[in-house]
Amino acid sequence: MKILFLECIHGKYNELKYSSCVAHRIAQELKQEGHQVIEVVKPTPEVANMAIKKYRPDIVWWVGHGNQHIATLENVSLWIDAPDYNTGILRGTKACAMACLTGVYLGMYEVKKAGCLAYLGYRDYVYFPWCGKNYDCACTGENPYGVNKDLWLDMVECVPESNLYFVKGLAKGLDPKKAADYSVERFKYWLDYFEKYKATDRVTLALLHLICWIIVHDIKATVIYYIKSGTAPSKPVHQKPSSKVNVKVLAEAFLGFMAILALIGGIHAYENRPAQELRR
Amino acid sequence: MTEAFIKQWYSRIPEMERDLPLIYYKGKVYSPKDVYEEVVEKHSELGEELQNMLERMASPHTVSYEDLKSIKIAAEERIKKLLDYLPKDFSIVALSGEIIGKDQILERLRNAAIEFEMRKILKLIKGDNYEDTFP
Repeated sequence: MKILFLECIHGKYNELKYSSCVAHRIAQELKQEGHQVIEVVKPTPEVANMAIKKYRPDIVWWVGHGNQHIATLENVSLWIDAPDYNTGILRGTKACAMACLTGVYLGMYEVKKAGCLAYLGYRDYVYFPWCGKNYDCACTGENPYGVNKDLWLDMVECVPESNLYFVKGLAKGLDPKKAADYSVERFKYWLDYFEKYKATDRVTLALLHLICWIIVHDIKATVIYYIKSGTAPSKPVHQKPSSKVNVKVLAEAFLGFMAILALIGGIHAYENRPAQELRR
Repeated sequence: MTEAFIKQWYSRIPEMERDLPLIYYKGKVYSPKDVYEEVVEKHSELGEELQNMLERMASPHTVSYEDLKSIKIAAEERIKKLLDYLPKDFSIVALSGEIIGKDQILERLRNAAIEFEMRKILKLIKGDNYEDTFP
């Protein structure tokens, strides 16, 4: 399988690096399994589009900021805005979005209207613990809170890692629904792990509970849209919202024209009504 | 439930969890340590009442609506205490670019936190009798 990873580093701070570290690690695993893996680091929208057009990947993963209809890449630069900006870029691919809220509308639009074969996203915010904007400690386990490095690394990476299990699942040949379940199962694995971890200090105890709250939240936010096998994807919609207004205006003008025709016809019929009726 | 049973129950609770609110009774929340002290050390009337409450909730039967309400209050108190334990300048980040400080975490994760802590309380109280009935 051909898998493209769009590994952003900088959003508003260095917060995207936490996910990209995990993506890089999983990309290496998938390469070793024989998949064709393309990693693009710090992708601008133009570079991401070029990579997709050039390599025609089966799966596209990215991390970036998002909202209900928008996906962004490095430095929060706009990449896709449903329904009318660059929505066709994911056509023919299975997409995995590590971003907030895109599961509300963008993912649904991509699959129902823009030819994307599957889309895993989140219908709520996606949270994870980090070291704060003043520390660049992604990928290391270093933290300013004195928490055990290995545990901290697990805490900061469990969310993107569970998300990436969707990609791993697809690469194993699972269908999108089962691959999404695989991602949720990974979240549950981490939930169980953190719940059983014995804290030895209050900060660690609080962080263990917090990461469990985050995982419970993220599991509920996970959403998958997909084309069932054997179902042809919908045709792309090229109409912009403004053109929908024009269609409405045209329809109203047509109805008005028909009403005028009917009125003229009525007058004509009245003037030419039978003489017998006139006599009454 | 005998005093010996309370001792055994208490010994199963991880040490760091013993100070966290566990049950709500007559307008006050009690931690496992409070229960232990009232039952085993003070042999108080309150201890007997807390023991009875624990005994009822620990049974394999479904928890009553009233008990669930009190567990929810205890869960909310646990969350507040746990948030106090977090480092002063701690934050989480959202993939919308927002930094969520300690004081906003409860607002953002309220439902998930309450669900998790209620389940946790039931596990601690019921032990082997716990059966997950959450959706």
